[in-house]
Formats: sequence, C-alpha cells, structure tokens
Amino acid sequence: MDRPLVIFMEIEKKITGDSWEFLITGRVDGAAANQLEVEVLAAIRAGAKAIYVNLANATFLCSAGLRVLLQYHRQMKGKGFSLLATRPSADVAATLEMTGFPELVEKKTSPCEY
Amino acid sequence: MTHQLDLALCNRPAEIARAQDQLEQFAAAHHFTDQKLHEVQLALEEHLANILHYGYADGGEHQIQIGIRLTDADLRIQVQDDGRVFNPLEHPSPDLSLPLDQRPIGGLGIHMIRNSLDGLEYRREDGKNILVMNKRI
Repeated sequence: MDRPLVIFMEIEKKITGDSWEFLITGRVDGAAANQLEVEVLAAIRAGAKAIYVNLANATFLCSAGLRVLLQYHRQMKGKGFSLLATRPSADVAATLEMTGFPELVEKKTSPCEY
Repeated sequence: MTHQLDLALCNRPAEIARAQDQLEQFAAAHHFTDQKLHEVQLALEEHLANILHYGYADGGEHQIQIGIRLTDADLRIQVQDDGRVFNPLEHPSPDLSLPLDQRPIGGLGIHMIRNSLDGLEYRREDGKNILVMNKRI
C-alpha cells in the first residue's frame, strides 16, 4: 500500500480586492510545489491581478517551486498582471540568487507598498 | 571515525520526504549548521526528484539506495538507482544571463545540485547510476 504523500508546507491566503498574498510556511518540495500551483491557478481563475508569494517562513524552495513561480510570473505578466515572490528567507534567497532569479522578488518591503 | 546512514527508498514521491527526514536527524546528531543542511537537502531533493521523474519508463517499483558517510567534516552521499542512464555531469548549465522572459523553465535542478555541493562524481556500474555528492560540513 502506498504511503500517503505528506506535504510539509502550509499556505495562508490574504485577499485584498484583486491582490492575493500567499504566506508560505515550511518546505516547498516537489509535492508542495504542486499544491502551490493549484492555489495560484485558483487565484488566477478568481480574477487575481497581483499575486505575492511570501517566502519569509519558507525553509526550502526546490526547482519545482521555482518553475511554478517563473511559469505563472510569465503568464500573469503576459496579461498585464503580476506574480512575484516576497521577503524570501535567507535560504530561499540564496536559492533564488544561485539560479539567477532576483527579478522574481518584489523589492518593496511592505504589503502596503505592493 | 566515520558515521553512516544507509537508506533504501522506493521510487515514490513520499519517499523523498522520508529520506529528507532521516538526513535531518543525521545532521542534527552531527551538528551540521542550518546552511550546510539546507544545501545538502537541496541537492538530494533535486537528484531524487530527477530520478523519479525521468529515470523509469515501466511504471514499476524500483529501489534507490542512499549511503551517507561522515568522516570528520567530509560528508559523502552516494545515491544508486537502476533507472535509465543519466549522467548529470554532462548536462549543460543554464544561461543565467538571459532575461527572465527567455529563461527556460526546466534544467534548474542539476544546476542547483552542482552549486550546493563541493564535489560531484558519477559512474555507471552493473546497470546502475551511481552519483556521489561531496560536501565539506
């Protein structure tokens, strides 16, 4: 019998008009990246024009998670909207830097400034 | 003195998390810094994910053997799988200078493996891929 797939990540959503913020806690491994994609797609279908993926409490970001960010950043940008990562933890910031994706990170420091 | 941990995984996604948990416990017992643990976990995650995604075409169950050895501050992780021939060392590095809109979406995993470790060795032996990751802890 297959073991259940446990996802070691939690997502808290904050919605203000058409601006969605996902606060990520835990490891964005392969399974969690799939879950993140489901949430991002739901936000897009619900009419989000700005999506912020807050990574302050993310302990880990794998390439599958990066692919979700990049793929939907491009999709949103193509529609004149935005998807950006915000406040990456030190480990996640190192991963974004290593893979050459600093442009995926929102430079403003407060949700009020987004 | 060499400390060791040996794991046998099945080729299922939940097994990657199990391997990571075991590695975390090993790291805690041997006082890895958070940064070093993160770098090793990232490399292991990416390599195991590649094996699961690309290694098998038969839909069957396969075993992946992981051998972890720590001698003083030298960590060596050997991952052995019986999947398709795949040498990550031959995989080209992504062009990080490309604008965001032109960056390919794939190909990052191996780059992350290379840049998280101090050394990487590959060989194919008896129908198995053997990747050895080296990291100074």
